[in-house]
Amino acid sequence: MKNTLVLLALILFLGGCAKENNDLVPNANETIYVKNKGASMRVNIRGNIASKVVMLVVHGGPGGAAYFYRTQATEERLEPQYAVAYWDQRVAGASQGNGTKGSVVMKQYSDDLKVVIQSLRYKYGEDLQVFLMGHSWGGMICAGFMTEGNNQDLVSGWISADAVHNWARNDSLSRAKLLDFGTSQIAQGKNTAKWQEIIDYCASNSGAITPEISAQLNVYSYDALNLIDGFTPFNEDDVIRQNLISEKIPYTNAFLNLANPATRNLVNSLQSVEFSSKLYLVTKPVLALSGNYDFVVPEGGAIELVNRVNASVKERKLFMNSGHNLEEQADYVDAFIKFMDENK
Amino acid sequence: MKELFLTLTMLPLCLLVKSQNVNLTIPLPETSIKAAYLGSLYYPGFKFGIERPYQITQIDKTNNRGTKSKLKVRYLTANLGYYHHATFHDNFYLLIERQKRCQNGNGWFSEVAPGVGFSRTFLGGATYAANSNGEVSKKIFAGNNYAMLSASCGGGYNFAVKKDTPLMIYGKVSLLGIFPSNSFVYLRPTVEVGVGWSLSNFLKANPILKIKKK
Repeated sequence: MKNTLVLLALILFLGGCAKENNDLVPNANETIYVKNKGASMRVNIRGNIASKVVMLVVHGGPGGAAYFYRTQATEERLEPQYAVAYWDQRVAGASQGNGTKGSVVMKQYSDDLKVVIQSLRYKYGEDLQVFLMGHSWGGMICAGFMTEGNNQDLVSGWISADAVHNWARNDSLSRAKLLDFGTSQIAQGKNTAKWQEIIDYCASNSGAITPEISAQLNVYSYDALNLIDGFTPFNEDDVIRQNLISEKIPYTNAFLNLANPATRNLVNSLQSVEFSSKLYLVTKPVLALSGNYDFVVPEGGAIELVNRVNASVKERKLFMNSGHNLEEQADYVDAFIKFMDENK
Repeated sequence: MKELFLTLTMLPLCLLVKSQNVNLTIPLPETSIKAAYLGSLYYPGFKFGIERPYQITQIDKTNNRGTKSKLKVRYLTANLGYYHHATFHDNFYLLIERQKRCQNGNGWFSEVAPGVGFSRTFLGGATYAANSNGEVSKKIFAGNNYAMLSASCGGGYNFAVKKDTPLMIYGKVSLLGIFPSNSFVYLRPTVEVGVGWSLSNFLKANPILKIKKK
């Protein structure tokens, strides 16, 4: 009996120490957790990991979830070709645990991203090629990561999809776009009452942007997406509803993370965070994608990103019938694939 | 001397209990063990526990048609619970509840129970961590410890009341809260369906008895 226990303990110990590199299948569906500074972050790896190329989703929020990004287009077009790692950041999605005090801060998220990449490379091999796909707030994390030390050596490229890298500047761009677009809509007699409310707010808050103004601009930016004739914003809730059981989504955890006071405090601290001044450090290939109707993260950010990075490969694309949530799903996904094809 | 003092003190109380016992129209609740399926709608689990009554109040209501009695029973319960949520976590928890049950003369009962406890989760996937040098290692039995609060309500049927069978069936819904989770709280609604069995002379209860007439 004693010998059996010793043997069992030895097997578990050796199992824990062994370097893993044996899960390279063309249709992976594996969930792992990455622990860092108190947080236990879920990473779901799907698709063709045998390709040794993975697109790591850095979701929006803060407090969003990676579940939103596994859409039909991603599943049918991207996953058969490359793997996708859906990472739930700390205080987001299915992530759990309890971060150490003061760990819900901008810098920690970039550190977390680094550990997630290191864990993926440990699991699938150091030759694993990782492409970051930061959406919305995820752009801040990617920018923080890419401009820190030698971090970018861990990745093969950076896709910035409707993503921010300068919080305060983005708010200004948002306000300007709401004013501009709203004025033209009123001139055309479209949804005049609501647009008037929006442009009145923007006009009366034309100075420095406080966290409260930033939050209200964000609300109006989402409202605006519903005011455009012939345009239907992507509904993230539908993805959750459809995949609640099949993806085993812990919905109360995801919801409470979204409403977490720590996340709100983080948002309030972002006004002073910008990576524009450090973008020149980026030398890896960059793809910046924007939606024509995106009031939340207008195209100006993507223009600045491409202009400032020192990458030899840098591209920008505007999707004419998209808002903030990659509405032209198939086209976005095809752009991801093309970028990875060309830069792997 | 000490024993004599104790005996003299306890004697009136014993007589009181005995006299009330005679008047109880519903069988006196005993210590029970319980076993239940615990589900979070889709995710399975179980719960084992023991409940011990510590205070019983019989309420007699008299009207033109006669007297109707019911018992309000307070229990202390200790439970071991578990649920499995694939890719999220496995949660083992120990829960102490202060349960209030209203037992009707027809066998049906309703109950509420606030509780406190301790929860240990095990993450729903292989877990990795890196040290400051960027060296990654796999963590065995990775998970988290939490404090737990719960609130539940439900009802059931006690066969001991009408058929003298020491069995009850019950169902209840609970809201488990574990904290601090993500510097906040994690809430999990659960549904529980189970049976309870009273074993004679098993941790024999000696509850305080009261009778109220209305």
